[in-house]
Amino acid sequence: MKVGCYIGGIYPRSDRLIEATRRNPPNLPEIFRRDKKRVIDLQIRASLTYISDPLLDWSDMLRPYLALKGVERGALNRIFEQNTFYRMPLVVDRVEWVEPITLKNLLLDLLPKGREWKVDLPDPYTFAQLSDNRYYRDHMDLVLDLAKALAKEAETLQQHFKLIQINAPSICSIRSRDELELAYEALKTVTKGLSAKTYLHLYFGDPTPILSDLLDFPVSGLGLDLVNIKIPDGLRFGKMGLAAGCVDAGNTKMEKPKKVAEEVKRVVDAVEPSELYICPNYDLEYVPRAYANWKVLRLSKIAKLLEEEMRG
Amino acid sequence: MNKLYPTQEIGSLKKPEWFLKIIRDKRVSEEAKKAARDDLAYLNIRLLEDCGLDYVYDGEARRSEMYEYVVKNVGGFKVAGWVRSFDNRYYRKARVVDKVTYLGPYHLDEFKFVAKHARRMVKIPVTGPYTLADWSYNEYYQSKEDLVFDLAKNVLRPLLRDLSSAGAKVIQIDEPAATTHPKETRLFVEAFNEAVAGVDAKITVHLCYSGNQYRSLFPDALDLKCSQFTLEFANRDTTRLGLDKESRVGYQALNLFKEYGDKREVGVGVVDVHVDNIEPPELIRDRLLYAAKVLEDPNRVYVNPDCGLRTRSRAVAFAKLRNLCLGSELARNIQL
Repeated sequence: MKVGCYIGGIYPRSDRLIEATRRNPPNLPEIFRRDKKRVIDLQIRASLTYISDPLLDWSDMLRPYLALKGVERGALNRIFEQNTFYRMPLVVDRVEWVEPITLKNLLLDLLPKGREWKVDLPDPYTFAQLSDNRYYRDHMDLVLDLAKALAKEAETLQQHFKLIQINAPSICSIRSRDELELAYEALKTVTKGLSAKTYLHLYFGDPTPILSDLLDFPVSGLGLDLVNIKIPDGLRFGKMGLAAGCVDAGNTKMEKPKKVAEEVKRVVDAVEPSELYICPNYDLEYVPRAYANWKVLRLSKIAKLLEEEMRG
Repeated sequence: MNKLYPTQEIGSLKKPEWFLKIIRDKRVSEEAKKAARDDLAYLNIRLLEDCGLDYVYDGEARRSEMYEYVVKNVGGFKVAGWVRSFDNRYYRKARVVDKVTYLGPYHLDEFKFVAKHARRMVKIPVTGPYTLADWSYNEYYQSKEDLVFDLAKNVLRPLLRDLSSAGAKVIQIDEPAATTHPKETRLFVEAFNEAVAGVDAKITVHLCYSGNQYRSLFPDALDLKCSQFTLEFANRDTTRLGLDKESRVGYQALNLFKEYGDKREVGVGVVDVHVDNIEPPELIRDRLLYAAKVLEDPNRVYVNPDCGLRTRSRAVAFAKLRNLCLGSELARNIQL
């Protein structure tokens, strides 16, 4: 089995960029651009399978989507388990897609030609859960309208990107059949007819009680936080791929590639996914830049060790 | 306090440019830097008192930040680097690389200075053990629990006792991380209680920006050994006047106190610290009256901003605090 690797979400800014955002000089966009280029070069150097825009200029994973019709900027709220905050989307009217948002907020010209690219997109169920809904009487209608809007986004993205990482932390805490079906339906709307691979990333919570159901979700693979959860015995991934979140984006402690590779190998032997990627358990923006860089360089080492071990 | 709706600040104020220039300048002597810190602390105390606040401190003039200042003054921590708080705001996070140790009463000198110069009641903010642990990268302890309890018993407890011995009558323990991991609420409560054990002072707790509207605090928080919860609400509220539920949508978490029969005081956040818009006194009045209505007793309501005001310009911060006091005065004149 070939083992790939990638990173997702927002990457930490360099000290130089942080300092620049405080001074707000006229050439700030250029400083952002240079810093993005450095992270992209690092991904290339680290031999990541898919290269992505590190989203250094995104304030949070939902902020660009406040441009959707019917959505405004809401209160500041904590992102799950972190001391980092996001602006809650304030839903004040029917949510509608008007024009491409994600593409407008990426620097495609920095991504390397001849390499495959990946991009992030919020899961509609999570988007709704993290919003302050002051318009829809029924939460389900909000989720489904968001799904339609994000489906339009996905459609515009697939011509450029081979893999779309769908970030779905809120799905982890679903425990009711109705909510699970709602999340499924919403996701089906987003992924319908896409040629790009879609990986549903689950973190900031424990999805194991619903994992057997998630294996039937309409995506190419599941991204799981293997640092904090243990996959229950007896599950087989079958046609589903696995993005093994085995590098801890929540701690500066450096992983030992050999040890991590052995642990992932045990998981892979047990669940038999159709394909395998190595990645951090979530966005690396929760560790300072130097630590994030070291962790990125470990990803391909782990992937190589795994490949060697699997070859046998 | 024998007054309805006593007013208080939460902690930090923005440091002025003149001050930062002096502090960051390597050519300036330590003596001159100390003088600048004294000047700013004194200025902040006077300004907070001029706003009309009943409880004051020094705007955390001597602290770089509520977390970083502490980890630089407690053994076992090593600063790792910048991590985003929100937008373009960052704080320095630290790694725990050794057993945490109390190196001395790191807030004592500033407390003595404030106590000497303040004309109003003094309330000192102190970052709590759970938050210190939660915001750090634990590379040393076997478990987070071990780290939290070591901080509570061996760092916070001696500090709080030292402050109390020096005359601190009101201590606010800042625990903004307390609702971050709902499954760890019990750990937060037990560590908090270990920290305040044997401390002879009024203990309040400040929490903010709960992703679950403080619901995860209960029922465990009923065991928390504090006499006041100081909470953020305005951030979630509308700016419409009125005492109806829809206008005061941001204050619904107050119902938890009723639901669980918790009769303690609540410090109600009535100004949003993340917007420049200055809340008019009438809006502050309505937020307070609504809180008093839900809590069924105006004597339990204290008045404060949602959180520290360090992200606002000083002009905006003081305008907000002034209106906070004016709004409280308006509320005092209305019989529910």
